[in-house]
Amino acid sequence: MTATDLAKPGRPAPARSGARRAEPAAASRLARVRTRFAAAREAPPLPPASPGVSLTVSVLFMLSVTAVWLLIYGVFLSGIQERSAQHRLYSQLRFSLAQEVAPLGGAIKPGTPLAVISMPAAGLNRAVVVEGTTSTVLRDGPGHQQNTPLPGQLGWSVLMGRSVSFGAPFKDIGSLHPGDIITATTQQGTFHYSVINVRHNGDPLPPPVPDGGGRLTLVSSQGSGWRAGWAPSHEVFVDAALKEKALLAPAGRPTVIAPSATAMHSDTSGLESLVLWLQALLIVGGATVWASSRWGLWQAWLAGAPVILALVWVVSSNVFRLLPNLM
Amino acid sequence: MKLTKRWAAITATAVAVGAAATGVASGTPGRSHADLKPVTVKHTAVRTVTKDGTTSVVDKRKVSLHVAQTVGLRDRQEVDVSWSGAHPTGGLVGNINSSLGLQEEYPMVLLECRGLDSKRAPKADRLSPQTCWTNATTERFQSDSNYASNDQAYPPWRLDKYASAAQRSALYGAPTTRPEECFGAAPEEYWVPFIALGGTKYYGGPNGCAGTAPEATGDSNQAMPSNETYGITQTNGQGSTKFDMWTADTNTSLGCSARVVCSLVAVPIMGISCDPAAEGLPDDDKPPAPDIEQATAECVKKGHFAPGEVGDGNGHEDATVSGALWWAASNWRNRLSVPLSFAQTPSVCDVVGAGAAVPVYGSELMTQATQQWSPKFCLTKSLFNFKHVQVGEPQARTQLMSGSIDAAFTSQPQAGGFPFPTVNAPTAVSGFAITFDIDDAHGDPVTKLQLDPRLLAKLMTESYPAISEIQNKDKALAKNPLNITRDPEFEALNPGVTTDSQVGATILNLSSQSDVMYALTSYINADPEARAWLDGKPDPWGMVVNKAYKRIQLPVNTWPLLDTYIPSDIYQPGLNDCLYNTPVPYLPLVAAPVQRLSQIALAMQFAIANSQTVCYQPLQGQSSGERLVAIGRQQLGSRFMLGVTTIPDAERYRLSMASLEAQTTSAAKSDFSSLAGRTFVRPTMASMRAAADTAKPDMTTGTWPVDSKRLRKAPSAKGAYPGTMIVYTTVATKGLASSAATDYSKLLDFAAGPGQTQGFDPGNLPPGYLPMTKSNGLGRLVAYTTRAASAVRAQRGDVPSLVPSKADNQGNDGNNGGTGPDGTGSSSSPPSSAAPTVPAVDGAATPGPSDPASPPAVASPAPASLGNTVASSSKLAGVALPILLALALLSGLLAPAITRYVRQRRRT
Repeated sequence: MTATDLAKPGRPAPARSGARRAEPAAASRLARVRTRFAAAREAPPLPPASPGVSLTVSVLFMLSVTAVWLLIYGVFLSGIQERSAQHRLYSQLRFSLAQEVAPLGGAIKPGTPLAVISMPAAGLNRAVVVEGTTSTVLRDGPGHQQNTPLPGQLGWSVLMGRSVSFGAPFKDIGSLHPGDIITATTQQGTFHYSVINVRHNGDPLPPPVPDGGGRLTLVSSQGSGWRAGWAPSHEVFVDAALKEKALLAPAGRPTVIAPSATAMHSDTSGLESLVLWLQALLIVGGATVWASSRWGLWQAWLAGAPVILALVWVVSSNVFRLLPNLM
Repeated sequence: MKLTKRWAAITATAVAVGAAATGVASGTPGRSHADLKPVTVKHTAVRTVTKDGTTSVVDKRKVSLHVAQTVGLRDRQEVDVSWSGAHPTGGLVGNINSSLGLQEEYPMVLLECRGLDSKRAPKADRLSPQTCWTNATTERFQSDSNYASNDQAYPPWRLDKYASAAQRSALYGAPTTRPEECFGAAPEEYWVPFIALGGTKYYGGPNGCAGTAPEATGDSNQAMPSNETYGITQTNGQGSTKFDMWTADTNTSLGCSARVVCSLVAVPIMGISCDPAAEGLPDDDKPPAPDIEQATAECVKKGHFAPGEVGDGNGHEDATVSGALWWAASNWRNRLSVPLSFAQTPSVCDVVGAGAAVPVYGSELMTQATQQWSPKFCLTKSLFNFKHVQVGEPQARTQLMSGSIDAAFTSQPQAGGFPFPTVNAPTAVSGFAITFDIDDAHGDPVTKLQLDPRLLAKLMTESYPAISEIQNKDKALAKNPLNITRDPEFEALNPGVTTDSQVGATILNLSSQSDVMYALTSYINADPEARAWLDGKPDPWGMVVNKAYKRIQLPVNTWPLLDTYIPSDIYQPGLNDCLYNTPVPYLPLVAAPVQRLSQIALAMQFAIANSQTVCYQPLQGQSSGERLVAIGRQQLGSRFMLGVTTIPDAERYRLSMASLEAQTTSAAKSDFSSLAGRTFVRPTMASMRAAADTAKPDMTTGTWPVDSKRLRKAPSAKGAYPGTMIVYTTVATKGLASSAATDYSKLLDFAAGPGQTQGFDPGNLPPGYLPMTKSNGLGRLVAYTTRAASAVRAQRGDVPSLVPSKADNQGNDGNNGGTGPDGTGSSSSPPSSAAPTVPAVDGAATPGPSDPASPPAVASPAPASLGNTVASSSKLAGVALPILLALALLSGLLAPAITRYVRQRRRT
């Protein structure tokens, strides 16, 4: 059949000869498929879909891409960011320890590296601990709760760490056993803590700190069942007792911490910077699209893609500030 | 025993009465002249010359040495030493405590030496040039390279008649194996090794190549000066100086102490007694004929400079009569020596084996008192081994709060009280002083200084630009005078004092937390003029506060350095390479506060300016290893330094103390055109007593606050010194071990009684403290401390009331007016205001994140468990990633599905 015949619905063309009807079925089917495609190619273009539909589709598409990106960022890429931060903090801490100016206590600026901890039993080697426990600060590694003494000092020291994103330094602390050793190195020396117990909601608290002793509590989050490993909904605590003699701390430690520094809270101060970075992303994205028509598709995207990628990275990092700090 | 105790009591009372009487009259407690055991020794010093076998006397002088104090000496004490009959000095140098003194001709060399100068003493205890302390290696080593201009082989010491044959040989005193660093030996060398306490021999040598004692840092103007003195004798043969006595605390290698005998040795340099012919010496050591004349001529020289003439530093002095040869036998045999006896220090407690030390942490105001009390405590069987650990008072209170210490010396109550019953027992009355080292236009020391709170505020708030670059470029400080001496307010109070130094823009202050800072800032804050100025109101001459400090809230425990201006004009490689490489704000470098009040006292004793604005480059012109160092010691005659010190430190090191403005009446003129209506008070016993009298008991804190505002207003406080502070011993009355409790109660009993006797012996109260006695109007404090002592001993949780009620004899009424910081006297349950307990705070239940330990176990046995964990959960955390995944899948499937559906719809 010819194209013109197709256009006219109606009687099929009469067969030319009986012999043709006996052609092998495959060949005819193939021919039919081939012609149908040819017909489709030659068919006049459809009128464009309604704007509502195309918008919905693009939105859904973008949503999907965003969600996939955030998932990948949260689980894998944020670990790269944390590893880079840990490198930087480690060299900064090494320098301060050598100069004997690493913090000993008192009011320490959040984000300052102050100790290195290792717990081989939980798969953590030489993680630099920073001051502060907000979601923002915990992106760089485990954090030290500001109103508690430093590891190695008299009293009860509390460290918090993430369990899913940004390197998840504390993801395995739930599997520590009593007797496992946690080593912490601060300006005052190296201290060894022996795990007492692992507790969850409702478990009894450990006995109080004896006179002259020190204790360390690691706080992170855990999920149960299908949530394990990626959707931690509740806290897990690990208590450890100091084996050496505890040292004195200087005065001046803050006595209260902001709500955003408490466990499982997000840092809403990230909202402003998120908005600003989103604006930056929009501007750069818009500029690239505009440039692609004026300058050239490949050129514009070659120049714009790295910047857009960087901005997307920063935006994702800021989005995670709005998620709970122990995630 | 009883008899001696009674005699001791009588003597002590007599001394106390006498001291108090002179104290009230003159302001400082005097020590009777005889107690100090001043000593005068005489000796005939001779210089001879031997010609043709006959010895004739060239010069003979009767030298007499007077030392003002030879017993009870304490570390870094400056003792007046004077002499007469000596040869006048020529070739004067500026710094007689440095190796420059070697260039003086005929100096009177004063040295502190270990040992006795007596043939009867055992050999090990005898002094010699080898046990005398000098700082620089050139003071103990001579070689013939010093005579390069003459290049003669016989320096004067080889022609010394009184030297032994060995001492006249070419090489004397060198180590048997010459170290590599010393390279080859010069043809003539004379070494005087230094033997430290314990026997270590430091040979020294050229540039110290064979090792020097650790304290021999060489002439540095960053540290305190060394104590060997090349004293200047005037043309009339008399001279005087202040000699700085050292104990093992300052110089361990010399090691003088109460147990190691030392002497002050004065060597009046007369010159070498020459013996060129050298009869009786081996031929090798006899000068050969061609050299004899030249060597003799050098040896018998009488001095290049006229007496009293200033040296030119070019080596023109005659070596034979210079200070460099103090060790030569001719000079050494002319010496005069005076044995010294040092006071007991707390270090005796380590030796006596008095048992484990019971520490009290805190206030540097108590340092001088505890230095004298400690030896008494550990040497008395009925007392205990008491140790004072100096830390800032806020830190001590925090440690007391956290339970890591048992007792603290503080001057302020703990904000919010302690979670256990404590008593603040008054222990001593002292205070802070503003000390000064200032020389006037003629170079003479200024003895009186008057300061008001606004001037102190100006100094502390970095409001003086210090250097003209900041004054010109920093708009905020453009209208301010360059330093305090250019300030009309200062000129009105102290006419005739000027300085150009940057140090005139600051006061040496504390960087750490201290109650002294609290008291100082309270004093400033109480003055309406100063407060208004700090809030931004310009002073009558237009000076304004540094913007960074505007409206600063006072009082504070620690003074912040807030200025941020960087004068980039002077941060250039040629001017200051360190600041060029790492620019930091300049005025904080000028302020350069230190950690401890004792460091300020040391800096003020020797006028060592601490402003860290000098760039030191170990390799000249290269940046590697460079760092900022302090300006260093100021030149005598042009000093200007101010510092915040404690009154006892100022008394001990004889620092000048300024008079502070106490009160102003309505007659006071704001532009200081006259000083009418303003009273300025110096720290004296009388003025401190007037201030202590105004202290009223404060029931809520359990202390007697010396209120700055009350001092300014009360008519009775007109002559009161505003820097007065009362030091308390804060100790718990429940929860201490019984031995510790007994010990602390003994300390309080001692402080309430025998410890307030003024004097210099162990157990006495040194100058600088107002004795806390009934006769000084402080009977109420004494009575309270006694009551507190019984409460501490009983350990029942009682806190005596500050004001004894009529029916209260024992003071065991803890519920009266809630005296201690904890209102309930004896409690058996953990106080509820203690460290936050278990219940969740903000959903986080990590127990008691603030100060540690259990709810303090002092009151009752700590509970076995603190309860159960209350963990927080977060729905968001539990669903964030799953939602993202769901979203991704959903939209990922939906989008193409919709597309296909729409396309199909359109096709059909």
